Parts: sequence; C-alpha cells; structure tokens
Amino acid sequence: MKFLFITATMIISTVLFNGCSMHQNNTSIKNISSIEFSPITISTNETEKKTMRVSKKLSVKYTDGTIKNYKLSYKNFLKMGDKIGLNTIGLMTDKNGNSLKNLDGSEDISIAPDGNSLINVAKQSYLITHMEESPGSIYKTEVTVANGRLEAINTASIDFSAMNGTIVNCASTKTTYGSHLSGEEDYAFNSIYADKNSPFFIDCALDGSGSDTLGVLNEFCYSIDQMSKYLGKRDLDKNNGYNGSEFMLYNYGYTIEVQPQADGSTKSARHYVTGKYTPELALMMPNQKTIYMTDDGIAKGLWKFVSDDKIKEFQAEWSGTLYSAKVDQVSAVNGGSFKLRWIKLGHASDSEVKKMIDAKMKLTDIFSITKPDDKGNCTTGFRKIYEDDKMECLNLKKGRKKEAAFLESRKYAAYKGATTEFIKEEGLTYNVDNNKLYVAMSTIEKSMEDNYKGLEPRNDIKLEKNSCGAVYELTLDTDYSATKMEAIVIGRALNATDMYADEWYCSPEKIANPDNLLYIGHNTLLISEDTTKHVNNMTWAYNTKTKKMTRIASLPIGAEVAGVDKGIVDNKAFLFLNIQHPFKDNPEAQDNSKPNSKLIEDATDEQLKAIVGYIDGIPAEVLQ
Amino acid sequence: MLYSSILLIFIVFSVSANSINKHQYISMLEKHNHISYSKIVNSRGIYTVPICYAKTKDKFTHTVSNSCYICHTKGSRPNYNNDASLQQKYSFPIQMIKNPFLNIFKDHKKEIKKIDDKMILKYVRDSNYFDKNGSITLSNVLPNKWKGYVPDCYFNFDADGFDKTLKGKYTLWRAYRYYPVAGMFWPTNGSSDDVMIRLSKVFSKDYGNVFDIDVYKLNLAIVEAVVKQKDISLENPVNEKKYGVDINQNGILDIAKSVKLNSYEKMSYVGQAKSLLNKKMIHLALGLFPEGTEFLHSVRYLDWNDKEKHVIMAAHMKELRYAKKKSWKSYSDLEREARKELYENNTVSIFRGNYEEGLRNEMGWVYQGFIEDRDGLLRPQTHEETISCMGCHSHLGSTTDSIFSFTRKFEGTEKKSENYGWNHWSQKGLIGVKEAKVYYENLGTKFEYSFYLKNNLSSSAFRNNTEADKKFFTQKKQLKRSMIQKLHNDISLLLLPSKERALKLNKAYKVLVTEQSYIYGRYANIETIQNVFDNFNTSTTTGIIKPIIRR
Repeated sequence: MKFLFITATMIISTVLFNGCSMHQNNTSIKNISSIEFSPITISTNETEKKTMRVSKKLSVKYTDGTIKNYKLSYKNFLKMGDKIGLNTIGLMTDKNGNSLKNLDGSEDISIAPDGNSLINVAKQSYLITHMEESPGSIYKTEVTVANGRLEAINTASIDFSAMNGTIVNCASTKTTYGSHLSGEEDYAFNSIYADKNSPFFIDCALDGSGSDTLGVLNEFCYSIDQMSKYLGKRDLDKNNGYNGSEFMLYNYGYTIEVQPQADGSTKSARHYVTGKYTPELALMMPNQKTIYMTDDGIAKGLWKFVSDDKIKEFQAEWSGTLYSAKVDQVSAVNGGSFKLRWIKLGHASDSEVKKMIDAKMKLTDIFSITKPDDKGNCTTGFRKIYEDDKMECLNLKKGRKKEAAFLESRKYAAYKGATTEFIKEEGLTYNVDNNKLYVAMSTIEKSMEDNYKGLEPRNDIKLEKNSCGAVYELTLDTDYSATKMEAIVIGRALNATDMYADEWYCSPEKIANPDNLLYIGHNTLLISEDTTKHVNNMTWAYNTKTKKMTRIASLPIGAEVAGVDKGIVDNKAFLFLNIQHPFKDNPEAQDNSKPNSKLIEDATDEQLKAIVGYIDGIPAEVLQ
Repeated sequence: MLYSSILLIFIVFSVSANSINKHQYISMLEKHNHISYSKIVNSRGIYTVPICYAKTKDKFTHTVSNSCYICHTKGSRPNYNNDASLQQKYSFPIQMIKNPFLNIFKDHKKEIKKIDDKMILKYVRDSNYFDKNGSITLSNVLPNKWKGYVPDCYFNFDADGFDKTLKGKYTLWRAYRYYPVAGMFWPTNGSSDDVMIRLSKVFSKDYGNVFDIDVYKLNLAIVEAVVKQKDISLENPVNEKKYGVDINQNGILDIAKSVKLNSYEKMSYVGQAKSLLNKKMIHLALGLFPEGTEFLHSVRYLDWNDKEKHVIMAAHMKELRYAKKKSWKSYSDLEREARKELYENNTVSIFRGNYEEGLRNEMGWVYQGFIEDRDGLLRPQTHEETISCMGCHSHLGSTTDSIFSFTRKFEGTEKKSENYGWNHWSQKGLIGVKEAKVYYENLGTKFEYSFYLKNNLSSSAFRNNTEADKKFFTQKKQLKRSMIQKLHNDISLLLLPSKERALKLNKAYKVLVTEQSYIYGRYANIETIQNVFDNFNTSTTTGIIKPIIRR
C-alpha cells in the first residue's frame, strides 16, 4: 500500500503563533514531517470479530526525508480486580477508604474502567484511571517500564472524602500543566426529581435497594442510595431536596481535578465554577484560562469557562465566568454548520458555589417549576425550557441568578436562550497545529432534529437524523473562544441494498457513534467509537489535512473504546485504549437485526473481562 | 421411518447404544422434526413467555387484572433484581413489540376433536422417560460424548423422597413438595410437574469422606435454611457433637431440633462440605445455593385417577428441565449484574451457551432441557427452545438464586402431615394441602392463591380458564366467599381441573407436539386466546398503578 505523506506544520511555530506557553519537548517533534498508521481491514471472519486488532505498523517520515517503520501491537496492561502492590484496582470503597463489602463479605470490583491519564511527576509516573460508577472512583497506579513493557507497581483509590466523594467519573483529559481533569457524568441528580415542590419529584424508599416507595427500581433513587452507601449516612431530608448532613444533590455533576504530587500524595478539587450538568469531560486550552466542557445525554448544552487568571498549576480554587453556547444554524448539510455565540451565565469562585451547596439549597429555592399543559404551554410568568429530555416551565426567583448559573447551569442556560439541544456530546480534543477544537457528537437525532416532537421552545438545531453521529470542528479566535462549529467527519447509515448492510448499520468505511477523541499531533486526530452500529467498535486516525481516514484499532465484538490517552514513561510511548465491556453489546445490522448474536452467546467468562491496555511500539518522539 | 427404527434399535439393544455420534444424532432429529438446533427460526426474544402479552385491562368490565406480580417484583436480597415496573408497563425491546407466540392465536378445537379420550389417556399414561426394561431412554439414546446433562433420576423414591437406582443405590436426587407458582403452574392451566434437588457429592460425605445419608439429609436442611433465610425444623433431632457444628446456634454442641439462623457467620455445612467450606473451595451465603446444586423438573400431562376421581400427574413427560449451579456469584457480583438493567437500553437479552451444555444466566446457573419430539419421545431442546427457559430463570425479582420452587417447598417434617416436604407428588399429592400465607409490602399477610384470584380477577393470566373461574367467581366477577374458605383448607379445589378439561388441555398440547411448533409458544390453549396483544403500541400501559411487592 502506498502511503500518503503530508508535511506537518512544525509544532514550535504553531506554539509561537498561538502565543501559548505549553511545556513541550520540541526538539524531537520538529524532526517528524508526518506519520501514517497501516490500516486494518474491516473484520470479516469470526476470529477477526472476536479479537483486538491494531495497526501492524506506523510509518514515520522525518524532515530529512528518511522513513522509518515501527511495529505496533496491543498489550493488555491491567484487569479490574488485579492485585497491584497492596491494593486491588477497581475495588469500590467508602468514604473512609474501606472496601464497600456486601453482607456476604464479598468485595465490589468495578467493571467499568474509563478515562485514563498517564502523568509524570518528578521521577514517578502514574496512570490515573476512572471507574464510571456511582459512587465514582479514581485509581492512581504507579507505573514503570521493565523489559520494554509498562508495569504497575502499586495502586490506590484516590481519597475524595473531603469533597464527599465523586460520581460516575467518565472521560478525562490532562491540563497543560499535567494534572488530570475528570467529568462527573451524572445523569441521575437532576434537581427536578429531588424537590417535593417539583412536579417531577421522585419519592425514594431510601432503604438501599434503589427503589421508590412503591417498590419500583429508579435510577435517581439508586444513585442516592449508592452515594449514601459511600458516605455511610442515610440522614436525607426528602422535604428539603434530599439534602443530608453530608449528601447534597448540588454537590455532584462538575469537573474534578486530580494532581499527583512528587511526594506520592495526591491533591484533588471539585471545580464548581465549571457548572453543574452531565459533564463528559473538560479540556483546558493552551492559554490556561479557557476550558471547554461537553454535556452527555439528550437535550444538553455546550460549555465554556474562562478563568480570571491563568491556571498554571494545581489550585483548589478557581474563579471565573461560565458561558453556554448559543448556535445559529448556517447549514443543515452533512451534519450542519453553525455560528457560535456565548451566553454569559455568571461569575463565581469555587468556594462561593460550595457555600451555596452547603446552605442545602433545592430547586425551588432558585426556580419555581411546573409542567407544561397538555398543549405544551406554560402559564404566564414561566418560560418553557427543554433540558435533559424534559420540558419544564421555569420562573427564576429574585436574587438567584448566581445560584441558577452554577447549581442549575443547564436550566439557566436554556432560560437565558442558550442552546440545550445537543445530544450525547462526548469527547473533546484540541489541535495545537491549527487551533481547532473537536467535539464528538455520538449521534444526530432527537433534540438535534428539527423541532423534535414538535415541542422545542427554541429549535436552534434543525438537522436531519443521522444515528451514526459526527465529529465537529470548532474554530477558535485568538482568545480561544469558539466562533464556528462544523461537522467534519460524519457517519452514514447504510441502505438495505448497500454492501455491508447485512451486518453493519453504519457504513464501516465511516465512523459510527464517535466518543473518545485525541489529537496526537502530526495532523492526526484519533476518533474512537462507542457504538452498536458497527460490528466492531473501532479507533480511526483522521488526517486533519488530507481528510483521510485510517482504521487503526478494531476491538473485540461488543466492546467500547474508552480511556484513550497518550503518555511517555522512560522515553517509551504508550497509547492507551481500554477495552470496555467486551462481548456485551450486540451490534445491529441495517435492518436492526443482530446477525452476530451467536458470537456474543458463545463468549467465555475470560472474554468478558474489561481490559486497560495500550498500543505498543510508537516511538516516543511521535507522542511527545 | 429411519429415525424411529434406529431409535428402536437403541432402546432394544441398549448395550450398543450411544454409538451414534453427536452430529448424526442432531441431524437425524432436525430432519425428523423439521427443526434447527442452532438457527433462530422465530425470535431470539422468546425468553419472554406468552402471558407477558396478556391484556390486563378488561374491555367489557374496565377492570384491571394483575397477575404480573407473580414474576415481576422487587427481589429479596441477594436477588437484587427489581422488575416491579413491569407490572406497570409493557416494556418490551422494539423487536418484541409484535407478539412472536403465534400458537396462542390458534383455535385448536378441530384438532382436539380428532383425538379421542382413550387415545390421549393411553398417550399420557405411556412413559416416554423409561423404556420397557425400566431403564432411562434418554441415557441410552444420547450420543456418547454428550456434554450436557444425561438423565439419571429413576423416580424411585423411598419414604424420605430419596431417589434410588433399580439396584437400590442412592442417586442423591431428592423430591420435594411445594406450592406451585400461582396461575401458570396450576394443573388446571395446563400441566402437572415435579421437582427434585441434588447437592454435589461432597455434601453426602462425612469427615472421613465416606458416604452417609444422614450427612446429606442434614446438609439439605442446612441448605434449605440458608436459601430460605429462615429457621428450618429437622425431621429427626441431630447430635451436633457428631458434626462439630452448632446447628441450633445455642452456643453449645447439643441435640439440635432445628437449623437456626441467629448468626449467619457461624453457619456451616457438615462433613466434607464443611472442610471444603473452611478451605473456601465452596461457599455459603444466605439466599444462595452452594456450587454444584442441581434441579430436575419434569413437566407432565394430566392423568385421571379413576378410583379416586381426580387429576394426577401423568407418566408421560412434556418436558424434562434441568439446572445446575456451575459457578459461585457473590452478592456484589449479583448486585452489579442486576443494576446493569438500569442502564441497558431495552434490547433483546443474550443468554450465553448452547443447546447441549445449556444456557447460562448471570447467577452462575446453566439451564437445559428435553422436550417431546413429534412421536412423543424426549429429545434435547434446540437452542431457540432453550431460550424459552431463560426469561423466567434470569432477571426476575421473584426467584431465589434464579429458582422458583425450593423456597416454596413445604416444611412439614411429619411424614403423615399434609405439608410433609420431602416426598414426590406421586407419593403424596395436592389433595388436602392447605393454602399458604404470604406477606405483601403495605398490604400485610394474605392467603397466596386467594390473593391472586382477587388481584387477577381470574384463575389464569389470560382469564380463559372458565371452569375454575366459574367455580370461584360469581357472574358479576365477585369472589365466592364460601369457595375461598374451602380453598384455604384444600388448594386442590382450585388447582386440579375436571377430567374433561384435563383431557382437552392434554390434547391441545399434543397438537403442538405433532407440529413441533414450541418456538411459537408452548401454552396449551384449547381455543384462540382473546385477552392478549398481538402488537403493542410502545406507550401501552397495564393500568396497574401500585405494583404488588411480595416480601
């Protein structure tokens, strides 16, 4: 196969052009002119569908014209439940760090490793790994390189007791100064369920079973029970928004920062100023002031935080301004394009927001709320908003703008006219070479369609349904503020007569339901899937200049790609890719049939285990 | 007929049996019965059962019937499944919105007429489990390297319910009597059945690794207490010193009359099983069976006892169902599996495994079965037919470690009493059995079957059992008080059908056997069922506001 080589803009010039102060080792990077992964084929036989396959080769072209080929392979690194040093990775613990044991004495091991960050501090290297759970959990694993492989020396769950724990730690990024940012992707703790004065109130049994008082299992009640288990307290007041002595609903659903220290300890903080919604993740821009956040689910917003000052190192207290995007649709073609404006929601510091939470607020302290009538209308004085796939009638209470901005960010954004019609916003990554930001929109449907259900109060986004999803490129101005948003990579649903339609729903030549994004330099954007619409979830290398797509990983059937991150230990590069829930999801064909069910049925217990692993063989200078 | 003659040779010359290879055996069955062992012909979603499609709202009386709670409820720990919401809404995966059970829409009256009473009685009285020499037909017919269960129960029970071979050797199967699950498992709605339990061999060995039936008996009682999470009376007092276990949990080793649950941490099996438990090679946890536990469940036609004038269990089996706990799942494992349901999109469940070794559930069990071929002989179920087992034995809130019957086992220890637990139904039947009482959250303790009639407003989920309904309801659909009083003292009044109905039900099912159409529903409907959806609107609700939660 003939490889196309594209000369990359040298990082050093881009860095200068952007006026940023990223700490980069530019000496080795500037020698590379382009990289090219060898493509892997679409899986055709059972063996290919069942196994982890990655590009066999990476060709690196250097500025002196030489080409070097590097052999690649996938290496399993960790399994949840592995004993590493004194501890077990994935073990769920309570506030005091004790194993959350069940009544039979059994320990609870997470099966959902998600975001990874490989972080170097002084001479130590750590892999930070999320457990996508309620309660949330993040493990810090000390790693080293021995015999050419990454080895784990010890692991421990990070202590979040001071912030009363975390919830559903989903995807992650690294800040410019090398700390770890985690999105608390919480779907359950929408305050409409917690307030007795809300028409959406859910009356939980609070007996640890996750049920409501009728005995029916409920996600909201389950999440409340799980957090109570973590906190070791059940003193919740249903008459006051389920607030308890330690549990407060408004305490969860933000960005968490983790910074391993040279002495082996870990600092952590919850940055309330990034707003409360369902953050998939947060990404810091090179100016060290602007941070973008995505919001997972149906009818969600897109978020920007601008810090008052540069954030150059870990600091527990951030202060700044929170904005929500308002889109003006320019085109509906090929995933659409939009002009972006930013609606200011408010200014605060973390401690200011924390104080509001500690005051045990509830929704109706901030907004009056009713349900729209049968015709979808709100009574006078109330504004109809659409968020989290619910239509609500809200009326902001006097003097509660700041509380609304930071504790009810999505409601307030919608209230102020921002766009809350995005769906399943997932990964975010920044291209330092062209100053673009990329956002993965897992699918284009429902709230992103033209006036979904005929009930949308704003209907800012009017696209045709594309359940294969898209990756959008955001153009940034010199202040790193996004001004334009345009789909650059889109999936395509197959027609019945198309090739591959007998097994695939979305074309295997294109993406399906993009999730993790990572720009690794050299015009290479990695797009990873979380889909049931491809037989195998894949990771693609998208060349941002040539637009060429190369398949670089095909996961075992039923697995999702998670935890994509790059890092270097002892001058050896690692490209992390977790194999989440292998042999669990059952992929569908064009006609919604599931022709690969047999493979899922035949899975052994060993094949069902989630794996944290990496692509081995990439030279360090490529990922530096 | 090649197949029949080959089979006959097997049966007659059982010495040379099992010589056929698996491939030949399966392809012979496929050809003969026009079935496929590995392909899904109807739907992968037939783990749902026909009654899940029952219409709960009555279009004439506008009343709402709830029979859903029998299966769909909040589980008791360590059954972390809570599917009580299925009492409120028909929550089917999109692929299952169309009712796949076409058989229930058929009117079988014509076919039934063609089968005369004598013929059907002869059919159901003919054993398809044993051959003429009394040996187990399937064990002779199944190919040599059959990886699944090979039937080995002789239905030859001693006074304690223990099964023995023709030579008098214990098979370790033990039959028990239990309250049939309300509605579906009442003979008046189709079939009779029996259940046997077997613990793994170590439970029958003493500390010196020598077989001891008393050790096995005691271990069964301990397992009963553990699984039911309640104290269990022993049939005979036990000298605890012999076993080194404080069975009655009174702090000293003395004579125990019951297995007590005061301190679950101190509970132990006895004999070899205790040694293995101490070495953590086997487990003990409340609400769970130990590894290696097996269940055998035969589903049978209805026979008529001419002398005593009531329905009894027939010799002829419709099905032989088998379950084995292959691996241990801790509470944490079980809770995690159960909670996944919260986040999984409403998709058709996948059950791992195959027709030969059975399909696995997430509690560590494997389920497998045999069903009649078109000639009435038992054959292994196909993969798709085996899927039918899995809806009930997987995510329901109503089971205990995915098993229905054992927590429903009678607890009487006196052999003469009507509720003696350790007997086969052929030794002691349903006549004279008193109604059970059950506690329902927010409602209190109720007579179980009366409560079902009251909430379902009928004796069957489809509300099509006119015989039993006439017996228990007035024309205005009010429960007949006098009959309910009688029911408290003798459940057979409700559970056993008349001879006429029994024979009709037998015939209706026999039609499915001839058709080999089990994948389209195995419900023995005499005529087209009316109170059932053939297609749903996704927003269809049951009309049930408050789910019934059994504790």
